[in-house]
Amino acid sequence: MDFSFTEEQTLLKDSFQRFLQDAYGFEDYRKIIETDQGYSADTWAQMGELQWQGLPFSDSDGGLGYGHIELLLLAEEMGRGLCVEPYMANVVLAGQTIAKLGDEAQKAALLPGLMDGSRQISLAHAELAGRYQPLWCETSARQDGDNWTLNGHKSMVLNAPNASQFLVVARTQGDTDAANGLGVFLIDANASGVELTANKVLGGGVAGELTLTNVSAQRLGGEAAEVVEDVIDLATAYTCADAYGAMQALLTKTAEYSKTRKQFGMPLGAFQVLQHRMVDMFIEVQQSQSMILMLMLRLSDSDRVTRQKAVAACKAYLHKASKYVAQQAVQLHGGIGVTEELDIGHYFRRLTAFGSLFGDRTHHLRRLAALDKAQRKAEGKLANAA
Amino acid sequence: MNLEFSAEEKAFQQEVREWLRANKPDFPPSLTHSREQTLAWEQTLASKGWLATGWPKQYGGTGWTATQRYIWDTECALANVPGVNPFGVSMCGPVIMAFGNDEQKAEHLPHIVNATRLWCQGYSEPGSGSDLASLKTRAEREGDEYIVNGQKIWTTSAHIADWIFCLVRTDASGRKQEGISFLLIDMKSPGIEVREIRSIDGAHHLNEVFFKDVRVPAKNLVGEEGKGWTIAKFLLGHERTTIAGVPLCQAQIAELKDLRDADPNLSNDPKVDEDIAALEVDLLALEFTNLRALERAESGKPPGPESSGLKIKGTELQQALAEYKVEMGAYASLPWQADAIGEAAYAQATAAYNIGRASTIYGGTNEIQKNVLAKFALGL
Repeated sequence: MDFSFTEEQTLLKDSFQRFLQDAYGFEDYRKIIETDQGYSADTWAQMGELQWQGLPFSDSDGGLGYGHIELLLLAEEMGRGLCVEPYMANVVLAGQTIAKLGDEAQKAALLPGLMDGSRQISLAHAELAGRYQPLWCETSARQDGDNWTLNGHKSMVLNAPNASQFLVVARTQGDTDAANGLGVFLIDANASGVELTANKVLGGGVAGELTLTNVSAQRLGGEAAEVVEDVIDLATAYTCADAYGAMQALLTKTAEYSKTRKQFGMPLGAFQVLQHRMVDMFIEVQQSQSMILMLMLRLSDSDRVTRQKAVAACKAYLHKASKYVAQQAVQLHGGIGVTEELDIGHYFRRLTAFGSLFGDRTHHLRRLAALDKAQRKAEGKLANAA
Repeated sequence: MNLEFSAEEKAFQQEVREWLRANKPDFPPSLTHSREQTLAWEQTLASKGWLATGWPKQYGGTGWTATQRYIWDTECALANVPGVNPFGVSMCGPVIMAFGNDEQKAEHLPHIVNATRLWCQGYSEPGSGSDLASLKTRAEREGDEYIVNGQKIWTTSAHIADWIFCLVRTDASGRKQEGISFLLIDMKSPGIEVREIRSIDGAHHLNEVFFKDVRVPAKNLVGEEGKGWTIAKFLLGHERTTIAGVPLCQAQIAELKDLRDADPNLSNDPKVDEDIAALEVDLLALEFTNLRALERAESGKPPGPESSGLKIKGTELQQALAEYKVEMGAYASLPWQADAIGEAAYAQATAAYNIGRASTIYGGTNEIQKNVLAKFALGL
């Protein structure tokens, strides 16, 4: 049994943390989130020089060839550092979709720019009516020879206003919620028939509503349902690690504050009711760390259902735990906790957004139960079920 | 990072599984085993050499690694065999090993490891619950003896035990923690009276123990006089890696799923699926926190912050599982006797839920655990 990270993983994590501490103070963050693009082009370029964007891509794709453990360690530091650079949108959602579906020519055209930070691409997968179902898709793709034509509407396309291209998940056949019949299609942001309405996102970053009217598109690979699900799962894992980093920051900041802030002639931390509250926060952070370690181990399992159950369980646990830690951090800070002046409120927003992104606790509990029941049914344990 | 068992550990798991299948007693786990049942099962384990799973070989223990113990506990839960009375093997034994003299080791350890003596624990008193150090049971030195007077309460198994280990007050003059001593007392000593307490599950496993001029040989003092609080703290920090009860919780989740899937009313209700999934997710977090503690123990590191919450989270989950089983049973959970109506598994569910409320109270209430955590984990 071994839970330890390799020396290389530890060094990487330390370097992420140092960079974000130096390059990304709270005052910088506050200026960045007020801009239209919602990120710092300078920091993004520096990350590119440090090859952060190339981290999870294979050597043959021109990346650094690291695995998901290193990716989640990076995410944890992004969360702790309150970093709003569009890493997940570009590197995880778009990047991993291209790496898994694209042919050599498509990869050669898209990945180098994505990895040095000069090219930004967004994955358009969500539709409002489908809630959190990753395969729910009304947007249609019609084939005409080698060309495809897209029609439909995509929501919450992360980082879309900064992207020069979109990868659109569209239905090639089947019902709106069918388990297959999906394709991924590349379009230019300024192509004819593309309409984008930009919006800011809770907790930082920007997104867009995308309307597609007879847009001409190039397809990546074939049937994409499995890849779309797997990429969204990896992004879900990424957000869990990000949330875990933010939770640690909130616990540390709250405990520190309780030692200095005095009321009734005593530090807040001397009151037992608040001590117990902070112990509950501490335990939730510890349990969340265990879930992240569980995820790191199981994401490389050869069985797909094991990987899916790990993601669902982690997201379900961390949604509840992160909400508790965030709410109590605000509560224990009192009035200053509900202002924009203090970082506490910004972590709170980030964790609120985390809860909804890629499915909330209820969604993932139901998903976990469905995956488990399907396995039990295969094992013949569901004799009387409908 | 790697969680795979080694080839040796897998072989050990197989050996344990087969042995348990062949030697499982014909009675299920219960808090109300008779003295004969308790001794029979523990002597079966002892004859295999597998009773003292946390002890080093030199004292007749298994000398197992933390991982082997985890495998053992998991297999025992899966096989649904009775637990081992913890007061001798897990508590008094380790105290005697750490603080006892050679004579005490020779006198007591063989009886514990062979299950020829049963032990109970004399800690709580009517006036001393969470504030254990305020205890008042007096032990006054008179020649080669202590004269013990006072009362202990919530003493599990006192009615079937041969010996009791007690915290007693040998000095009332200084700080309350400083005048406490750790004394071993033969339950057959004149002046000891045991009275049963019926607990909330309707059963008898708790007792009051009264001491009236009980003469205890002074050689039964463990460690120095007045240093008993150090031993009490040693025991509180002991057994961190098994305190969460993860294997038992896993067996209970499996049972809840079997009960659900055997009943169309439950298996077709998405709320039940969601509720069980929520319990399962909590258990997974607990399991991995436990594994982290185990890994530290295995590699000889002191317990980390992860282990501090294990008692709190473990007992909360045990209670939540028991509570949910009662809800699943509907009317079948109401009969206050076995085998009355419906699925037999629910007949004991309510009693188990009731007595399960004790788990967040004993061994230091969860509120006391939080006081300790606030100080040591958060520096408050």
